[in-house]
Amino acid sequence: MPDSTPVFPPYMKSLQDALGSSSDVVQLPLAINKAEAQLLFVKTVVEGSIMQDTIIKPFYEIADTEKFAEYLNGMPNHLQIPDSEEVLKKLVQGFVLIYCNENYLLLEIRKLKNTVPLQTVLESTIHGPQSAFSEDLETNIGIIRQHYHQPDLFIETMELKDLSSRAVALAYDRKKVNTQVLRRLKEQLRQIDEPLIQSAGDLAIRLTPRKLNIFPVSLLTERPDRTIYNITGGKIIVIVDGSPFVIMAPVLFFDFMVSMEENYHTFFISLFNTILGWTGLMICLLLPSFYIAFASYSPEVLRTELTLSIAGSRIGVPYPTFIEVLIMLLFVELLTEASIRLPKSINATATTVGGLILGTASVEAAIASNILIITIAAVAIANFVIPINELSFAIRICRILLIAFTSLFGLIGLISGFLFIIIHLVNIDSYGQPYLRIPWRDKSSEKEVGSG
Amino acid sequence: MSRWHKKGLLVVTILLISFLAGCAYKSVDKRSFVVSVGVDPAENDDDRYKVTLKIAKPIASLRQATETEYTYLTTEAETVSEAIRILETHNDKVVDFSQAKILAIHHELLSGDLQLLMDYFTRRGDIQLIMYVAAAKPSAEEVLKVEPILEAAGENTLYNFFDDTGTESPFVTTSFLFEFRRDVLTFGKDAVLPIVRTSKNKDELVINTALVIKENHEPVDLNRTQTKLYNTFMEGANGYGYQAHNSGYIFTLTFDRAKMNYKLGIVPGQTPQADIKVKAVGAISQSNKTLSLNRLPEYSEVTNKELSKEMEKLFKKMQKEKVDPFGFGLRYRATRFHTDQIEEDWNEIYPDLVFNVQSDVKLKSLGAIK
Amino acid sequence: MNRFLYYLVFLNMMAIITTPIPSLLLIGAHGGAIPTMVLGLFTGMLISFFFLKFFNKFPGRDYTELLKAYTSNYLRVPVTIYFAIVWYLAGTITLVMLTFLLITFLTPEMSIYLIAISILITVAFGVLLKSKSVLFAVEIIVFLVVPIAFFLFIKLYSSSELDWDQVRTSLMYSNSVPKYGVFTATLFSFSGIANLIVFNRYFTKRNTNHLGAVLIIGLFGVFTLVTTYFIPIGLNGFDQVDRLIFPWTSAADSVRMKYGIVERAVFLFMLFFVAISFMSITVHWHVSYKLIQSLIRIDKLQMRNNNWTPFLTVAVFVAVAIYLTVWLTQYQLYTYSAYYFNAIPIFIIVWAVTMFAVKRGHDNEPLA
Repeated sequence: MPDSTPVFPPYMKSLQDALGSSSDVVQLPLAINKAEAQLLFVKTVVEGSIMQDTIIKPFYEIADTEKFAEYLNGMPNHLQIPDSEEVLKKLVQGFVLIYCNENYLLLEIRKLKNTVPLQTVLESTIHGPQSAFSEDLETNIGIIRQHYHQPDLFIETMELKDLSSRAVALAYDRKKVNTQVLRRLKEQLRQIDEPLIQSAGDLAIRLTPRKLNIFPVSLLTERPDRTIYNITGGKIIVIVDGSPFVIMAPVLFFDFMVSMEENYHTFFISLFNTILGWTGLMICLLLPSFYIAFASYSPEVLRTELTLSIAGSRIGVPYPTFIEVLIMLLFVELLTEASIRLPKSINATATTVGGLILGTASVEAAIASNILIITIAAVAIANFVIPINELSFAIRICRILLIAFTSLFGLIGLISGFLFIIIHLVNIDSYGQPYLRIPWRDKSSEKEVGSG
Repeated sequence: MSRWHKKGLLVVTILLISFLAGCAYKSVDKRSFVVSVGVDPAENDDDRYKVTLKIAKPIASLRQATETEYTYLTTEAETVSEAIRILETHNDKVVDFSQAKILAIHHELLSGDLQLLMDYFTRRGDIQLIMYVAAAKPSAEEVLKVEPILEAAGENTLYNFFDDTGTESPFVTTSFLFEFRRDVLTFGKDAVLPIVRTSKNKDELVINTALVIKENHEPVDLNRTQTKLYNTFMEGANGYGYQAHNSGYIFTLTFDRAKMNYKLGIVPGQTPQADIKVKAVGAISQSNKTLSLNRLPEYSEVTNKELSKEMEKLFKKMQKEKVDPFGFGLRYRATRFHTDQIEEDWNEIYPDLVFNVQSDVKLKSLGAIK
Repeated sequence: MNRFLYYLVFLNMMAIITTPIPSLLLIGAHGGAIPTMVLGLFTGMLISFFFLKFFNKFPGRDYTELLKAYTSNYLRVPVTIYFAIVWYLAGTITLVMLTFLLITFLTPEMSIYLIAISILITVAFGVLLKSKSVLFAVEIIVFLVVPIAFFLFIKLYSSSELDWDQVRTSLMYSNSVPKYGVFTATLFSFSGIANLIVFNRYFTKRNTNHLGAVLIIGLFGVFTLVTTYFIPIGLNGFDQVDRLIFPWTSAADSVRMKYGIVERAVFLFMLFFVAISFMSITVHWHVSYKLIQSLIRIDKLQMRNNNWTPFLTVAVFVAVAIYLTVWLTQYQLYTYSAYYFNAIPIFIIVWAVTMFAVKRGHDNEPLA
């Protein structure tokens, strides 16, 4: 049967040469009766069973080159051939090149990984949905679509120009989105010139032109409900393939202080939670600096009893207050970091042991005062009340700035530093939108202040 | 390179600032907090004042401390500020006045020129204006040095007396420094200070009388009843301890609310009148006879008569002594346009002022028994 | 009317507490302060009305732009320089006063340089912001301090030590002849609206209800003046109230919060004063800075794509302010700032003249 052996088409040959002799590149000839076809694919990224069901089996059932070609043309996942550079890229992404009836055809039979929605880890709620996004782009788009049944929901996909050629999708409500922001965001996405981008967090940082940022100007979330909530607010969602987080932009500072839990409770409970969150933020930011200010510069502010108690508990502490505070803060930061790195099963032990022993021992050894230990503990707890992790990192940095201001200038330095942070927040913008402003429901007044 | 320039500028600024900083940095354990200040006349003839500072010692653990920890510094000098400057050299720590809560002044010092005495305390910005001022007998030093048995560590008994969080007795007059300054400086109203006395064996403090103070005038003593009446109707104090002896009854009353209103009826050519209305709501807490509920109005009437009489006596005494703690003079000034001789006018009117006291006490209950 | 304008007006009125104005008002307490304040109130409202009306004619354009378009350089340059100096001094008076206040009450041991620098770091940063960001910052600060202010004013007015007879006595002096110094000090408290000369750029909508706006401004004014004037009298006594150098701080120190975290209300006040006056200095200097920017841009300071003129301007601002803070005595501060306030009518006349010039230029312009 000499003519039943399929002829290896030259174009496919050149492609195979370009791919090299990797062990997972497969060139598969199919032939039955007169019919013949050639397949070229990378087997590690192609879903074998789907290929079996939709290409190989039908081929043998149809057993006719022309009919098979028609069948292929009728499939929804086929793609016309772009140039060979592009074809190579498609092949490594999970496309199958088919030569049949003297025609080349690309079929997408991508092996899907990690399509299972994950559990919420970072932003867990009690009453809200418990599942987060998955690590697959299409599954994630599917999740958004399923939660937001509006024809105005618009999805745009594009590909990053870096080595990973990661697929990225923009999702937004066409009627609600701010077109200026959209234009700006797309421009930024196009301008990215970074050799490798691996996750949403990575991308979010590259999307901002300023490099020396403390505060994040876009929000990362793993929660579909938060995503939908923000789409209805006119925000743009950037989904990155392979990352369980999506990016939201533009954001206000206040968006970082919203826990989704608040939407699932009655008014007063959520009000209480909001107040708790803000109190936590303030404690976390200000308390160590207040300690320095009160213990070193302005003891007259506090009540006599408390002042004397601070004075008493500082007996024997050799360092000035700001060094005392920095030492204890360092310990707490280390504990926090350690508990993130450690496996879940031991970290509780590590933090408890570390925290308890360090606290008591440092008071015993007169390295730190009792009141400071209370302060630092309150700060450490308050840190975790902030709903979005990114913000809580930013606050930890600002805290050090405030400590510096207070150590230099006392209570006035603290106020000055606090206002400095506010002015800084007002000054930065998220894709052209002011970052910190009071979000009034009625936007008419906002528009009066023209964009100048 | 502008970014580098900016960074460089920042670094230079921070360095410069760090060199500047630190001069006001005084850790709390390097300060000694004055909780009370006492001023007495000097024993030495060359000096004028004897100043006593009561300084709190920091205590590592308040819970385990068994006794109060105070230390006292005393010296004499020509002025208060000089004395304090001398005392600062007696102490290795910074003397911090920001927590001073009590200013005790020897009762004899209150008759002379108050200007020189008070100037230092009101001029210093870091001394609080809500410091309590009291007249001390026999001397400020002795009063400050009393450490009552009931005083716990970290507590200041005198402060508990005045601050409304502890005892709230109608016998204790409170006067803040700003109030004292205001009333001394105001024409037409005179200041009232509580008198703090030590008990015989010097382990207790007693506060139940007061002193009316007018600049360049001998202080006028108020006895216990008068102090109580003044506190009740001028300072809004209330509680136990009002007595009424009348028509065979002897009552002890508790007042819940009490207030006083007055109007001046001063028309040229007529006798000047002050119509004073005294209102109180209260209950009977002790009686010498069996009482009956339906006769409450009668008991109120009995009390009214007694109260009117007592009040009138108090007003007349003040009038005779030429002092005015109730502020009739200020009211006079507040009800007519200012003229240059308004003060002299009042000085002529006040001695002739007739007080019509009308009291309206409403007794609401007899307590638990009839 | 735009809410941001109210913020500017409110900020300026609250900030007069940390200027020498309260004590300038109280110096007149024994003669004519009250009728003068009433007079000043109405004049202030009238001027506010004209300001609003004028700028409403040119929505979205600031004053320097108008001067450029409709008047000659001979008018524009000196007027802009004059205005820049006026605004700079307004901010500087608040700064020096705030520094004195802090050194007297909060940190007596601290060096005056250090206090001035600690304020100026943040202020300099704020001055360099975009005007729009300044407005947003003002909004945030106003919202942060309003609850504190509200609490404190309630605390003050309900204080049992507040002696209303003292207040009534001071009212009995209202039959005296008005005083010029008190009048100009009152006018200054209405000057918040004048910040429009820069911020009008961001007010792009025309509005017609000037009267309502002026009425609200008037109400703010009445509240501020009554509080500034009568509270220190009620708490510290009427006789010799003019002897107080910081009447407001002394008044605030007379309030005690029995169960508060902080017992002395004066420290809450400090927080409030400091935040408000920080923003007030920033706004005033920002206006001055923008006016200077409209005149000078030094090409020599061009480095790559950054022009350093703004930094130089602010550096000069800061240096002069530090020099003044260290050099001025309390007496000089009070005397010179009294001169400054007394010169406010000149400012109003200059402004009125240029306003007419701009209006004529605008009316004579052929319609495009």
